[in-house]
Formats: sequence, C-alpha cells, structure tokens
Amino acid sequence: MPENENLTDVIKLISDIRHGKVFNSYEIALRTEQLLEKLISEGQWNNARELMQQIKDKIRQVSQSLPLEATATNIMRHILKVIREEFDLGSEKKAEGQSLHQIVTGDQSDELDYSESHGNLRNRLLDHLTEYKVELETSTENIAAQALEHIHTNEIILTVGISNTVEKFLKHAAKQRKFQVIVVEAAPLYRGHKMAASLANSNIQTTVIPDSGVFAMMSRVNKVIIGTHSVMADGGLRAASGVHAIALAAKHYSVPVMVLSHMYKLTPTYVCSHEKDTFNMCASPANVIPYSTGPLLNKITVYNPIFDYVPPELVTLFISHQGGNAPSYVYRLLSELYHPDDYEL
Amino acid sequence: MSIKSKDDIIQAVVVADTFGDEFLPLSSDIPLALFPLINRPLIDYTLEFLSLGGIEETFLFCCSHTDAIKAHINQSVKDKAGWSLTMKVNVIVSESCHSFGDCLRDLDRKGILRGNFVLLEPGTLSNIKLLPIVKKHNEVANKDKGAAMTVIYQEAGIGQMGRDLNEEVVVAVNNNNRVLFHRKLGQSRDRKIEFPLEIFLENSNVSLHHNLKDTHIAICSPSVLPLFSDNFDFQSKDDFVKGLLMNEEILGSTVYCHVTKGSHFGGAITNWRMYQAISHELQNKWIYPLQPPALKAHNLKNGVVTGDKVVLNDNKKIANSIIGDNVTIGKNVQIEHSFILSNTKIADNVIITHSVIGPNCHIKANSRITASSIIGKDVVIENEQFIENSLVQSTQPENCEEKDKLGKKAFRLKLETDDDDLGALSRKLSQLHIGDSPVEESEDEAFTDSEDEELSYTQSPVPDDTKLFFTEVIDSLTRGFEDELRCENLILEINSSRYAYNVTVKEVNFNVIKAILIMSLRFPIGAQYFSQFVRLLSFFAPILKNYIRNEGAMLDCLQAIEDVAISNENVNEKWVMFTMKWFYDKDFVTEDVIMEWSKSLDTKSRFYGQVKPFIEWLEEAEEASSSEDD
Amino acid sequence: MFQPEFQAVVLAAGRGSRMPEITSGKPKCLLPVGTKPLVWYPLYKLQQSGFTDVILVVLENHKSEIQATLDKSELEIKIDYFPVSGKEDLGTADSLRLLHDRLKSDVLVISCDFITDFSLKGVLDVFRMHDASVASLFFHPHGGELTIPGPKSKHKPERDLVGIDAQTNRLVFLASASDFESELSLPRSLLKKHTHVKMYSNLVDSHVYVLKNWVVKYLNSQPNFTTIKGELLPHIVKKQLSKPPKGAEGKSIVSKCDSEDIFNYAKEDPFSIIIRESSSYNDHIGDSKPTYHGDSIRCYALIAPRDSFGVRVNTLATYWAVNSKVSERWDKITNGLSLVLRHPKSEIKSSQVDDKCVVWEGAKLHEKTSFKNSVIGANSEVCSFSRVFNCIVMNNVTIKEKVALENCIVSDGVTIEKGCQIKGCLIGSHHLVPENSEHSQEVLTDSDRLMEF
Repeated sequence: MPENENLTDVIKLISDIRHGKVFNSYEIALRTEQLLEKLISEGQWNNARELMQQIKDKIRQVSQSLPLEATATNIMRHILKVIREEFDLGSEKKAEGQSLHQIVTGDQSDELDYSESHGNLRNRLLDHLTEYKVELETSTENIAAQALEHIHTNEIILTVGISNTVEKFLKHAAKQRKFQVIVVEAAPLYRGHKMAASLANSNIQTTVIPDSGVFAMMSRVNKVIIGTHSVMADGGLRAASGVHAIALAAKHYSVPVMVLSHMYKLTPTYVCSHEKDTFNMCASPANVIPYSTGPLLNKITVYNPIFDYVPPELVTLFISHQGGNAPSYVYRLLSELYHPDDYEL
Repeated sequence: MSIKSKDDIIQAVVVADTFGDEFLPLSSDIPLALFPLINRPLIDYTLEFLSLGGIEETFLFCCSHTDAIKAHINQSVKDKAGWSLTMKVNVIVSESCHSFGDCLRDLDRKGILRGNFVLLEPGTLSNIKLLPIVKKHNEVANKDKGAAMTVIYQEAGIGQMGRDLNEEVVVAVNNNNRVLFHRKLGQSRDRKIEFPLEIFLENSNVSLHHNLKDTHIAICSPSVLPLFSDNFDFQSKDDFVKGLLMNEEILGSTVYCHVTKGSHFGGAITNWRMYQAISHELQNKWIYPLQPPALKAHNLKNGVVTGDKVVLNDNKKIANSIIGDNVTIGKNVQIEHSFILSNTKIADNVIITHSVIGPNCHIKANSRITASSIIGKDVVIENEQFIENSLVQSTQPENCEEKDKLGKKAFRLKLETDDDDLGALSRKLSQLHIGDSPVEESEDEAFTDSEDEELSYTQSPVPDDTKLFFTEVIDSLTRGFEDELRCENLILEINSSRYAYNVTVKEVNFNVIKAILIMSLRFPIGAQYFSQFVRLLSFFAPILKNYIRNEGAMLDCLQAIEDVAISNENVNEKWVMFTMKWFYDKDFVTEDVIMEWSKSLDTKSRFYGQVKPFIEWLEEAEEASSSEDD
Repeated sequence: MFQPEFQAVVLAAGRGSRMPEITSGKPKCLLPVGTKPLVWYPLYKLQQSGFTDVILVVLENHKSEIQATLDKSELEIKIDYFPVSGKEDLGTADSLRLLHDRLKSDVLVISCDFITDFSLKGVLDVFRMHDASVASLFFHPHGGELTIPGPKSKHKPERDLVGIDAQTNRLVFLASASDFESELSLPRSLLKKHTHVKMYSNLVDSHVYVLKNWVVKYLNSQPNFTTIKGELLPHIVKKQLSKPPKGAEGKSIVSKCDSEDIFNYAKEDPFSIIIRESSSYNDHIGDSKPTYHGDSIRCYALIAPRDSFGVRVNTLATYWAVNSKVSERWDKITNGLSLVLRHPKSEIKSSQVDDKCVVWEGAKLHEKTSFKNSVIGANSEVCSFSRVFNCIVMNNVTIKEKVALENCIVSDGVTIEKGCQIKGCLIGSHHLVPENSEHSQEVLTDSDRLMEF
C-alpha cells in the first residue's frame, strides 16, 4: 500500500513508543523532529498542501494508535503551522501581511492556495527545522538556566516523582545555592525514590516523604516545582496522579506551584470529561496490590489511574525555555505554536 | 519494514481452536478465536499482546471456521489494527488436526519455523513482555542443549478467580528454574502429593510451587516440534511437559519455567469459568495495556458493560454483566453475572443469572435462565421456560430425547462426559463461577483428628469425613423430598458435598442409599407404610439410578440395606424383603449380584433370616426359568 | 524472682558415637579444636550473645574432668553443671526432659560440638519476631572434600530434608532423607497452606534450637521422644498443620486424654492474640487466612548467609576439617579475642614450628623437630628428629625420636615409639605404637575397645 509506505516511519515510532523503547518525552520529541526532517528533505511532495496532508495523516495515525500521546502530535502540529507561515512568507500575494481588520474578524475568505508550488520552500523549511531542533535540544538547559531566578538560598522545594527537566533545574540551582528538596515518592511506582537518589548524589539535601505526608509538609515548603505530562489548552495540567492533591495542598498554604514545561507539551485540547477512559488511563492494579494476593481480588476492584487533571487556578507559573508564563496566557502561546485550523484533525 | 535480518525475528504460533467440548454449543458456530470478550474478538487481544510483546511474525493455526478467522484477520489488517503495524500474521489452515499436538506435528511437517518460537495455547491473553523471556530461554539453551521449553507461569493466590480449578498445578523447580516435577491436581482428590525422592537429593534446593497458574504461554526451542512428531501420544502442552519429565533420560530434553510477577499477567480462556474470570480481569485492567474497546459513560454502573446500539429500557436489575452490540432488552429484566452476546433479543420479565446467551437468540417473556446455562447461537427460548444448568442449542442434536426438546429452536445438549464422575466434576469446575457457593473452599480444611498418621509424610491418612457427608446427604434428601425438588439438583448437591468431604465413590453410593432407606423408617408404621415407602423410593429413583450404575455399586446398595436393617432393630419384619424386591424389580440390582452378596452373609444372623425368603424366591425363579429353557 | 528471657542449655552428654576412634577414652566435648576444647566454643558464643548463665548437661563420670578443664579456660559465663547418669544411652530430648523443672523460661538449646562465626542473636530475633514455638538455625554446607585419616570409607552423610516457606520462613517440613524410599509424599494441605516451599536437602542443621517453654513441658509429657532433632522437632513441625480439637477452647481440661494434646500446651496468651487480631499485619499473602493462619504452633527456620561458617563437630570429617579452619576464622568466631597459638607454659625448643601450629599448655617440643599445620595437645611431648605435619596430637601423647607423622589424629595418652612412619592414621587413645612400624590409612587402636572396626 503506497499510503502505508509513507507511514512506515511513524508506525515505527508508534511501535517504539508502545513497546516502551522510547518513553521520555524528550526522546519522542527528537524522534518526531527527525522524522519530519526526513519527510521534508526526502519525502514525495510537490507543494505545501501535499506535505501538510502527509503530516496530517501521520498525526491522525498517532492519535488513533496512542490517544494519550501528546508530544509527537504537538510537534507535528507545530510544524504544520511553520509550513503555513513559510508559505505565507514566500507567497507574494500575502507579502503585505494581514491587516488588523482581518485578524480581528478572522476573515478566512481569502484562504491561501497551498497547492501552489514554491521553489525554495523545502530549503526554508529545512532551515527552520534545524533551528527548531536546536530549540528542542537546548530547551531543557534553557529551562534549567532560569533556576536561579526561582530558587533561593535556604528555600525548601517540594517536587514529586521523577522528571528529567525538574532534575536538571534543581541541579543547576544547586551549583550556586544551598537549598533543600522534599521529594514525594509517588506511589505506586515510587519513581520519587530514584529522583531523590539522583538529587542526593548531586549533594542536594533531599528528603523523601510518602504521598500521604504532603499536606503535613506543605506548610514549610517555599515552592512546589513539578514537571507535567502535558499542558491542556485551558492551562490545566495532565500530570502524574497525585499532583492534584499536592497542588491543592499548596493552594491551602499559598505555596506557589511552578510547572516546568517544554513548549511541545502545550496541547490544544480541553478536558472534556473526567471519565477514566477519555482523559485518563488506568494501569494494571498489580503495582497497587499484587496479583498473588489471592481471593481478596475477587471481591474488590482496584483502580490505578496514571494521570491527574490539575485545574489552571492551582498553577502559579509555567516555565518554558522562553521564560515564565501564567496559566491564563497558555491560550496565547497555543496560538503562537499552532494554527487554529490544525487543532482538530 | 524492519531493519533486522530475518533470523532475528521471533516467531509465535497461536493455535486458534480448542479441541474439547468446553464451549459447546457456542463453539460449533463461532470459533474460540472470535468469541467476543467484552465486545471484542478474543484473537484481537491475543495478537495485540504478541505485537506488544515484541513478536513480528505470527502463525495462526486454524482447524475450523477458517474462513471466518481469515476474513477477520484481513479486515483487521485493512483497519490498521494496532498489531498489524508491526506484526505479520499468517493463517495456517489444517482441518485434519484433532488436537493441539496434531497442530504442532503439522507445523513440524511444514517446516516454517526457524528458531525458538513462542507457543500459545488457544484463548491466551497476556501482557507479558516476551523478548526478555525468550532471551533468557536462549541463554539457558546455550548452557543446556536439551532445554526444549520454558513454560511461563504467573504467581496467583489460592482461590483466585483467575486460577483455573481444572488446572491447579504443583511444580517443583531447582535453582536454575528447571522443572523437576509437574503435576496437575485439577480433578484429583488425593490428599497426598508424591514427589520422587531423587529430585530432592539431586538438587540441594528445590522450590515447590503451588502458588502458580499456567499462562498457557511457552517459549519453545526448535526441538519441540520433532518431539511432538516423535511422540504421537502428546496431545497437549501438559502431555508434553509430563512426557518429557517422565522420560527425561530417553528424550534428553528438559523443561524450564519462568515465573512472572508484578504487572505481568497471562491466562487462557479454557472454559466458561475462565471466560468469566478473564473478562473480569480485563475489565479491571489486570491485562493493561490490553483494553476492551473504549467504554461509554453509563457502563460503569454495577459493573455492566454494553456494546453499541443496546436498548436497555431503563432496567435497574442488570448487574455485573457484559452485553454485546445490538442487544434489545425488555422491561423488568434481571440479568446478573451473565454474558449476552450480540444481536440477541430479550423480552420482558426475563431472569438471567450466571449464564451465557449466544448471538441472535430470542429469549421470550417470563423465562428464567440460571445456574451456568449456555445458550448457543440462534436459539429461541419460548415463554416461561425455566432453564437451569443446561446447554441449549438451536438445532436438534443426534439421539436427542424427547424431554430435551425445549422448543422449535431449542434443544438441550448432553455431553458424554456428563455421565462419568470425573467429567461431571471437571464440568463443575469449568462452569461459570456462581458467586456464593465456592466449590474450592469447602475442601479438606481441618485435620481435626490428632492422630499422628493423619499428617505423617509416609503413610496415607484415613479421613473420616464420611459421617459428616452422610448427615449432609440426609439433610439434602429430606429437604428435597419435602419440597419436591428435582432429583438432578439433589444429585448436584450430593456431589458437591461429596467433594467437600472427599469421600470415595463407594462411600457415596453406600451413604446415599442408606440415607434414603433411613428416611423410610420415619414413616409411621401402619397400613399406609409401604405405599408411602414406595412413593419415597419412586421419588428418589433418578438418584438411585444415578448412583447405582455397576455391580460394585449394587453391592454397595445391598450393603446399605443390610446396614440399615441391622442397625435398626425395630424395622418392620417385611421391610427387608420389601426393599430387596423393589430394588430387584426396578432393576437396580441384578440377581447375580444378590446371589453373590448373599454368600457373604452370616447364615445365623437375624438379618439372614429376613433375607432368606427373598433369596429362596429368587433361586426358585431361576430354576423355573432355567427349566423353562430346557 | 528475676526470670531471664531465655535459658541456655548446652548438651554435652553425647558420647561422640559417630567418631568412636577418637572419643573412646575421653569426653567428646573436650576434643581439642585449635587452641581450645570443643565445648569452649558454644559456651563462648553464648557468653558473647549476652548470656550470663548456662546449664551444661554432662555425663556424671565426665563432670570433674570437664569442670577442671573449663575452670582454666577463663570464661565469664556462669556454668551450672547438670550431671546425668551415663548408664542408659540418653538422647538429647531425654536430657532436656530431665532438666524440665529447672527450665522456667524459653530455652535455647545448643550442642557442645557447634562452632560458628554467626551470631546467635539472629535466631533469637526470629523467635522473638514471630513469637515462635521453635526457631532453628541452618547453615549452607561448605564444600570441599578433605581426605580424612583412617581407612577410606565411603562417606555418606546423613541428609535432612528441610522445607521452608519461602514467604514467611516457616519451617514446614523436617525429615531425614533416609526415612523415604523412592517417593516423598506431602499432604496437599501443606502445599495449600504454604504455596511456595523451598525444600533443601543439603543444609547443615546447627542443632541450635530456641524452644518455647511449653515445648519443654510437652516433651515432659511425651516419654517416647528420645532426640530433639529426630523426633520432637519433626513432630512439632508436623503439628503445625493440625488444628486444635474442636470444642477444646473454653472448656477446662477434663479428660486425661485431652490434657496430653499438644494444643493444650501450645496455648497463646489471649492478650497477644487480641493484639495480633487488631493489627493489620499479616505474615503472608495468597489467601484470606489470618496472620500465621491462626496457628498457635509456629516453627521458624533461619538460614545463615552463605559466607558465614557453622559446623557441627560430630564426625571425623568435620572434626578434621574444623581444625584446619578454626584458626583462620578465629577472629570472626570469637569476635576479636586474641589468638594465642603457643601457650606460654609450653616448652618449644624447636625452630621449625610454622605459624599455623597450635601448642597447648605444658607441651614439650624438643630440639630438631619440625611441625607444620598441627595441633599439639597439653602435656604432649615430641622428641628430637621427629616431624609432625598436618596432625592433631591430643593430650599426654609421647612421640619418640625419628618419628614421621603426617595427616594423623593421635588421641590421648598415645605413645609412638622410635622410628615410626605413620601417614593418614587414626590412633586410638592410650595405644602404643611399637618401634619402626609403618602404617598408612589405618585405624590403630586396641582392638577390644573398638568392636566395630
């Protein structure tokens, strides 16, 4: 099947994600970028429309196979927007740019004809992608570089579970300041233990607490710094389960909650329902209670949800490589990242 | 598609058919592979599991309904089902195979498997990551050239739904996870398990596992197929393991085992009970990331899952059930712990509990279907039918008796295995799990006697639960007689008490008959006595028929009569004579057995005096008949 | 009166019947091992584990000799000698039964021939943790075949089958492999209760048992048990599977028959039962049974880690092996007691004594003798031009001139005349080896003492 042929690379990515060969969002981001780079440089497309169509196919394929995977689709969505922009720039017709009137009214009447071919679109897109790749690669460092603005000497920082970005952020701050970190262990996977071990190895004074101890500890915490799975369009978070409780405790004690997020985690979708299968996912209960427990399991139902939705009002600040933003500003970031036509595919 | 060279690809073999009669009558219309499991065909889960497990080529072995399976696979590839992205599925058709072993022998002839492969028994679902286990098998095989198979087990506590009671297993493994001893306990009622002593002496450390369940997944070396070919008596994987362990020296092959823990789950749908258990586990995410199709909002209530286009009519009495697509349910219907497959219509006021209703059925109003009944495809159940613990199909089976015809398109199906004891037990253990009467619990709980022999490792204990059994039988029968319950149910009750107290067949026969006879003694002595007695015996005739099947049982019966007569001094003088004659007339006991038995009697006893007239009568009758012959 | 948590009993009334060649004339517990007599090791171990008192069960006729030896050994632990008559052959259980009215607390029973570097606290803690009825200590075997002096015999060690629940460390099965012919049958209920049993066939039973006091009382009511390991323990281990007779609870003990039931002894303090029931702790998963399956009899096993060392000196093989190991492991066994290889009151004139040799008090090593890796017992004398390699020479032995001894065990009071060449022999006590004899791989003893050979 020729159409399948075009999708082989994305299928490979999907299968790698499903088989757990790549799991952290940064790796997925890089893989997605490579995939697009290859498509743009070597792919079979003659004009922007064909290219966009191919990318849209890929997005559909990914979101169908992995409904909860946000990184890959977000990046591809962003590239769609890039293609549109580059096309706009190249198109002479649009050289003068949109008038204020057009922006306000959102007049789409003069829709561009993306099927026009553009001589150097390919090269310009590749240039842009190289730039984007650098952005991806340095995103974590750029976020970490802001650490000193947020973490001060002798502060007590609370974090939960494990996150590469948070880890780098804290370690960066620890190079110059002395502060204390409380790691919530995040049952039932207890990834917090690994995080704590890594922090402690970098000579950060680290304390691990159980999830149930969050409220008790919160009164002495200065800042909560966490990572997230993705940021929803309203500025809410889809984060590891347990984060909502932490955010609520922080709210109670008026402790600021800072969320470290790469731009590709910004997702142009809303939470439509709290039902477990649409927004959330339940993993095997085996981590909560082992299967070998015996007949007890006939009588009980165990849920092991993976995600929590944290409403935007509980988040104080998002920190991306561009700097800090309030949750209310997320819609604006989204419109910078994605074209509204690409929100729903 | 894959960069890997062909040889690195791990192949899997899935046998799609079950060869037993576990799923009759439904399996005569739908292959097991396409059984809907929470509204999605079973094979979809299996293939998804294989692809997630890292398998890139699968051979699906079909022996019946091959077109349906092929069509389904092709459709899935077209729809780009998750597994089709990374795995190739080849359907192999061989309609001549009659067992799992045959399939493997056929595969051996075809010679399409290259290296180690993953072997799945029919109906397997799992989320085990296969590649690490395959790798481990390779390492083992490098050290031990004879390593033929790694059987995968999962840790599971006793009494869990997911443990197939027919497949309770004891496995002994050594330090290297080599299986030294393997025994299925399912149907045996032995109180002792005998291990060969040398396994303990040859291995400094042996683990005895009774905390495992078979996942029905095995990693096989290439030598497995020739071994199946060389040994025609290997019909199943268990035969294979057993055969290899028994003839370890001759076959020079060894079996290893791998025990999965944590979130790794594996199991196979081997019977209805497992169908129920795995549906339950799938629903509860134990097989994550394998999932039923996206559930809808109202599905969460009372553990009910429904498919598309279901008309529920606001029924409040539906709980813990799975309802397929296009099912229409009438008013005031009660459905509990049941499975309703697609396109079925259920009329008003129907009660369905612990049962499976096949596709395209029509259950008319006011019917009751209970106690693990299985209704096949296209069956029409007429108004106000009461179906309990039966298999019903739409076409007339061979040698169908009149009473088994329930309607134009409903016939009760009897399986051969129903008749013998072991079959009945295994059937009982395979039925849908009926919530509150667990068979497994009541087993040998207490060693109340402080007799030392009871626990000694070297001698067999002589349990005396027979008395308890006897009182329970009397209770059941008395109640049955008073409430005029159906004898089949009483038999079921007696059998379950039998397993609870672990009494032998002989003791069962003896005690059941004794119980019936003792009941007869409760009638007031008078003119009406014998007519009441006959009424009692006639009522229990089906039970008697069920237990008195052979000469041994007849002897037990006679002994019971003797026992009752001797231990109850005040029985009517003619009681013995009457009873004997009744049993003889109704053909429960034959003349030969009576004569044989009478020789063992003490001629001086009072009892003999009571029997004597009857025996003499018999002898005369015999002479008469033989003289007639002359 | 103050009652200690545990009372320690050291059983030293054994005759060493498994190595009669060297124990015929002397208490087994006084065999020299390294620089100390055998019984010193368990006593020292107890002292280290915090015991201040110990009951030492000895044979009546050995008491004075043992007491005399131990009085010199600088042990701080207070030894209470308990002599038993040597007329009948007393088993370990018999000894304990004789002691029963002196045992008020839970009891730690240890054999006089046990040498280890593993702390006894481990097994005591297992006992405390589960409020066990019996806790026992096992060791992994230490491989390595050594050639033992004496005629080559097919050495077939007795093997125990020890079944331990992998999850809870309950000791669920204990029997000797020789009790079975070709099959071992286990009650199905055992496997249902303990779904994962590890069956060991090569563990070394240390004969260290911690027994609840009721076990001693029960033993007293069961006159036919003679040994702890052979009968009492397997019996109790088996009884774990039984349930107390129904209706026994709440009723006062009426009939005599009832009172002999083990469950009348194994009654738990109702208070601790309440505590256990109100706690959410459970020792196992896999069924919905209460903690410990509601058993009042609970046996536990502790297997010492592989790198630890524990051995029972009850055969020639172990005796021979332990002598070579004890000095090497001295530090760990005694936890830092300084090792005096050459007793200050010995007289060593020889210049060729390597640093693996142990010389006891009053030994006399003349000039121009040579010693390697050997033990020379108290008041033994080795004359010039003799050499002793890899030997154990016990007390009061006289070795005359020009004797070559290699790989030998020489018992008390032996005299070896001039010019003998002896290799790999066992020499029974007070034997006299005539001049210029040559022997190898033999047992040299006065034949009437040793009927078996």
